[in-house]
Amino acid sequence: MAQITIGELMRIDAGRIGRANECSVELVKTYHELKKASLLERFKSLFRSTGLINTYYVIFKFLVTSGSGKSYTVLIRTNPDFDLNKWETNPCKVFCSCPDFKFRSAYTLKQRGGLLVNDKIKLELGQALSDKPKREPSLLCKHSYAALTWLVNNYSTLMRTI
Amino acid sequence: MIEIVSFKGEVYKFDPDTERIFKDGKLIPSTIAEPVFSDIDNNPNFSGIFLKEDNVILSKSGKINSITDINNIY
Repeated sequence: MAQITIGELMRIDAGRIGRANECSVELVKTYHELKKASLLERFKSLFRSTGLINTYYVIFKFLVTSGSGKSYTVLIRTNPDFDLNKWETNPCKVFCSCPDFKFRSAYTLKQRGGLLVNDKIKLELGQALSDKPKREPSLLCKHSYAALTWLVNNYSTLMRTI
Repeated sequence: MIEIVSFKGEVYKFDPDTERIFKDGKLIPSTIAEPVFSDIDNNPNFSGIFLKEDNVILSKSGKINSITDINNIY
C-alpha cells in the first residue's frame, strides 16, 4: 500500500481547517526511529543486501491546545528530508490523543496507511482501529491538522535540525 | 562516495556501490556501523549511518541523533 503523504493529508474539510486555526501548537520533542524494513521487489537490485535494510524515520511530538483550552498530544512520523523541500510528497503517519481523532480519523487513516501506532496507541484506540466510524470520517482532527500545518510552515528549519 | 563529517570532526564515507563504510579512511565492519535509508517505498536514499555501539544515527548532515524505541513514545 502506498503511504499517504503530508500533501494528501492536508486536504481535509474547510470546517476543520477553520477550527484548526484556533489551536496553538508547541513542538515538544523530536525522536529518531530506526526500523528494519523489507525492500520492495523493484528496489532489491539496487542493494547488495536484498532482504532487510535499516530505515530511518523522524517523529515529531506536539502539544496542541484548542480554543477551549484542552490540550492533546499529536505525533507525526515522516522521513528525514535533507533536500528540505519535499514536504508535499513526504509520506507520513499521524496520531492524536483526542476523541475526535479516535472515533473519526483512526480507522480511515489506518486504511490509508497513515496511522501511527505503537503498543500504547493500539491499547488506547482499541476497537476504533477495527470499527468503522459511526459519524462522518475525517482523515485528520483539528489538532493533528494544526500540528501538520505547523510542521509544513517550519519544514526546512525542522529538517535542518536532523 | 558520500561523505559525512560528524560534529566531533570524524570523517565517515559511505560507498553506495559496495555499501561499505569508512571512518577516517579505515573500513568499519557491519557489526559496528551500517547505512540507514529513508523513503524506501518510493525512492530509497542514503540518510546516515547507524553507529551500533552508541545506538545513534549519524545523519547525512553530520548530526548525531539518539534512537528511541517507538513504544516509548507517547
